[in-house]
Amino acid sequence: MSLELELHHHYPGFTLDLSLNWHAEGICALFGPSGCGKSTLLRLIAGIEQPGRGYVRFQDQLWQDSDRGIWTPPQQRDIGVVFQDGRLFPNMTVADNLAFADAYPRRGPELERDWVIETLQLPPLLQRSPETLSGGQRQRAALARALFSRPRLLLMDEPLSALDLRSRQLILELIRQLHDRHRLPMLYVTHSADEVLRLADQLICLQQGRISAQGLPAELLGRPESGLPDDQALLPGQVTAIDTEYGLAAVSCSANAAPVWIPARGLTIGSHLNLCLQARDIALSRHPVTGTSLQNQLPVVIDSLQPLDSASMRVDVCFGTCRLPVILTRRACAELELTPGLEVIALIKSVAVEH
Amino acid sequence: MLPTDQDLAAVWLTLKLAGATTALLLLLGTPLAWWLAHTRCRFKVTIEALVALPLVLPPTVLGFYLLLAFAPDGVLGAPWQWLTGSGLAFTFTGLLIGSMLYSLPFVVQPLQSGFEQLDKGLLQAAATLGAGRLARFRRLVLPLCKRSVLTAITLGFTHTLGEFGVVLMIGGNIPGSTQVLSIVLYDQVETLDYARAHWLAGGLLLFSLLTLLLLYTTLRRRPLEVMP
Amino acid sequence: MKRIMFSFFSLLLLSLPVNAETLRLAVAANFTAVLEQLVTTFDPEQQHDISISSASTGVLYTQITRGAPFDIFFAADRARPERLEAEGLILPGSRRTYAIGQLALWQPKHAPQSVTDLLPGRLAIANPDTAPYGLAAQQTLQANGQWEPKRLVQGTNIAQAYQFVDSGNVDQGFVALSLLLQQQVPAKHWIAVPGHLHDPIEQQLVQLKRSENNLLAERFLLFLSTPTARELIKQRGYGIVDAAH
Repeated sequence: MSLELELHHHYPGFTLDLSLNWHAEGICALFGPSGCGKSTLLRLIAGIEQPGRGYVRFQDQLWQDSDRGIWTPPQQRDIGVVFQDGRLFPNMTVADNLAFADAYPRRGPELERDWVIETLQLPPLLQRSPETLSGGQRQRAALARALFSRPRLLLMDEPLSALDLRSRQLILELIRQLHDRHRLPMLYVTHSADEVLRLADQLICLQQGRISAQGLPAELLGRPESGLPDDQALLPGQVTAIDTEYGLAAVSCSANAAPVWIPARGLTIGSHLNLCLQARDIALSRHPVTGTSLQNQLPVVIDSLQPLDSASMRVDVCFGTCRLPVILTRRACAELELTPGLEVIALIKSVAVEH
Repeated sequence: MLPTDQDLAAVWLTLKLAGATTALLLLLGTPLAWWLAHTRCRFKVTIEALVALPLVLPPTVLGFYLLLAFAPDGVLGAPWQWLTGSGLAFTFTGLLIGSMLYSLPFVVQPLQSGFEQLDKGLLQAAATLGAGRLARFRRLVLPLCKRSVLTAITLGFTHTLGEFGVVLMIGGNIPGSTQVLSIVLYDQVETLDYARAHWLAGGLLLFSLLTLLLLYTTLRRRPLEVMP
Repeated sequence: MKRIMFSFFSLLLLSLPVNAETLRLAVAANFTAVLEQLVTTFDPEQQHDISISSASTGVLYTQITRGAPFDIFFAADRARPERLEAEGLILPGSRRTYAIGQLALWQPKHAPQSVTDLLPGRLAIANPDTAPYGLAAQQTLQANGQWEPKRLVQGTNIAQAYQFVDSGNVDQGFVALSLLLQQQVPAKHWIAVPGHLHDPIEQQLVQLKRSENNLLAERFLLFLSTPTARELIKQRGYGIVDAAH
C-alpha cells in the first residue's frame, strides 16, 4: 500500500522537483506556505492538472509515466477529492450530489452511509439546493460526497481555509472521527500548522516546489526546515485512566513520566491521541506547588535556554523522551536561577491542553 | 380565405426544414462550440470568424457559391453525385446544407457562450467522482447550460423559418421539396395576390413572435430562493 | 399623309434646342443591357441626365403604385402596364409594345435539333406564375405535349433559369434568346422556339403621369421608333412590332 511519485516540471512561478514515497496509511499532511506547490502536487496526484515530467504510482496502478506516455484520467483513479470551494453541483440537491458517484464502478471500500451522514450532521440539508448552504455546510456535504464515491485515497485541498473558526474546529473533529472509524488513507493539503498538528499522522513539508522535511509531526516540530512554528509541542500519547466523576483522562506520553490530565470529552482508555501544548501556556517552578488549581505538575529537565527578545526567554525542557518549548520572562529565569540540566516542575493547566 | 394545398405543403416543408436544420446543427455544432470554448489553438480566431460569417454575409452570396458548389463538377456536387448518383441543387438535402450554413452562428454562438461560462471546477470534481466525459456532459454540462441550449434551438429554428435568399438561389421552387413559405410569399407578391400574401406573412410573423416570447419567458430568471 | 406629318413633327422636335433635363427610366431586368445601349445611342455625349433603375417587373410595379418617381416604365410583360393604365397612373394612350420576347431551348452540352428535342431529366424554366417567359415555356411544352411539372426546376425569373443551366445544375432550359446572344453562347447549343407555339411575350412600356411635360421623355420615345433603335432591339434578340400599329 503506497503512493510513490517523482515529478519534475516547470510551472509559471515555480518548479516542482520532488520524489515521494508514502506508505498510504493514516492522514498525511502536505504543509507549506502559499505558492510552494502543495496544491499543484495534489492536483497532479488527482489527475486534474496538466501532467508534467515524471511518474505517479498508487498501489498497483501506474497513474502517470511521462517516459512511456502513460496517463490515467481522474475518473479511473478511484480517488475522492474535497476542494477548497466544495464544488457541489448546483443543478441537484445535496442528496443527489452524495449519490452522484453511485453510477460508476469504484474499487474503494463502501462506508456506512447512515453513520457518515449523522456524524457530519447532514440530515436537515439533504433536500436543499447547494446554493442555499453556508460554507461549513457545503464542506461537510462535499466531504460526504467524496467519501460515498468509494475512493481508495482521499485528497483534501485546503478544505477548511475558507471557513470561519467554529466550522473549522467542528469539521476538523469530524475528519478525525471519520478517519478513526474507517481508516481511509488521506492526503491533506494545508498551510495551517494548527490543522497539521490536530490531524496529521505523517507530515511532508514543501518549500518552493521541493520537499524540505518529511516525517512525524512531533519530530519535525522543532526543526526550522519544516516551516512549522516552534512555539508548540506535539506529544503522542495514550489514555491510561479515566476519572469518571470529574470527566478527566490521564494521558501517558512517555514511559517513566507522569501522565498529563486533560478533559476526557469522549475519550476512552486506550485511545491514541496527540497532545498539543503551547509554549506560552507552560510555567516552571523549582518545587512542586500546593494549594493550586493546576492539575498537571510534571517533573522535567531543562535542556537549553535562548533569549527571544529583551523580555522573553525560550526554555526547552525534556519530559521523558519528549521535548517541550516553554516561554518565560527573562526576569523569571533569573529569579529561578534556571540552568541546563536543572530538574524543575512544568505547570500545565488541563484545559489548556488540546488534542 | 382558406389556406390552399400549396400553402399547407409549404408550411409543412418549412417546419420540416427548420426542424431538421436545428437538429443537425445541434448534433454537429455542440462539439464545435465545446472545442471553441476550450481550445487555445492559434486558429481559434479564424474558425470563430468563419462561424460568424453567415451573420454578415448577404444570403444571396452564400446561395450563389452553393449553386456553384452543388454543380455536378462542383466541390460538393461531385462527391455527392459519386455517392448517391443524383444532384444536390433543387433538393431538400441541398436546402438542408444551405440552411445549416446559414443558421450556423445562431446555434453555435449561444452554445459556445454557455460553455465558456461553465465552472470548469465542477467538471473536475465530477471526474474525480468517476464520471467520464460523456457522463459529465450529460449530467452537468447540459443541465447547467440549459439556457444556452434553449436559445440555440429557438434562434436556429426561427432563423431558418425565415430563410429566403439562400433558398431563392438554390431552391428551384419545387413544391414539396424546396418551395418553402418565404418563396411562396414572394411569388404571391409577384403575382399581386396580396390577400393570400397577407395571410402567409401574418402567420409567419405571429409564429416567430410567439416562439420568441416563449423563449424569453422561459429564460426569465425565477426569483431567488431565500435561505431559511 | 400621316407619315409625312409624323416625320415632320419628329424632325421638328429632334431639332429643338437641347435642354438639360432629367429622365428617369425603370426597366425590367432582362431588358436592362439593351436599354443602356439605346440610351448611349440616343445621347452619346451624355448631355442629359438619364438614369436607369433595373429590377423585376413586379417590384417596379409596386414601387410605382407607391409613388416612385419614374418617367417611363419598361415592363417585361403587358399585364403590369395594363394594370397601371387601369389605375389611371399613366399618360393616356402611352402604353405600347416596345419589344417582343423570344424564347429558346438551350442545352449547353448538346445540340438540340428542335424544341421537342428534350433530354431526360430536369428542365429549367422561369416561374410561369410570375414571369412571362415562364408562361411561354409552359405553353410551348403544353403545345408539344411535353408538359410534366415534376421535372421542372423553376427560377424566379428568366435570368435565374439561365443561371441554373449555366452553373451546370440542370442540363437544359427554356431561356430568353436575348440573354443567349448577350452571353455569346454558340448557336449550335440552342434553338429558337417558334412564336406560334405560345402567346406572344409582349413587353410593353408606359409613360407615367409624372412625365407629363417632360420633353426629354417625348424625344426618347420618338427615338425608340426610329429605324436605328428598332434595328438595335432586333439585333439583341427581340422581335419588334410594325411601325404603324
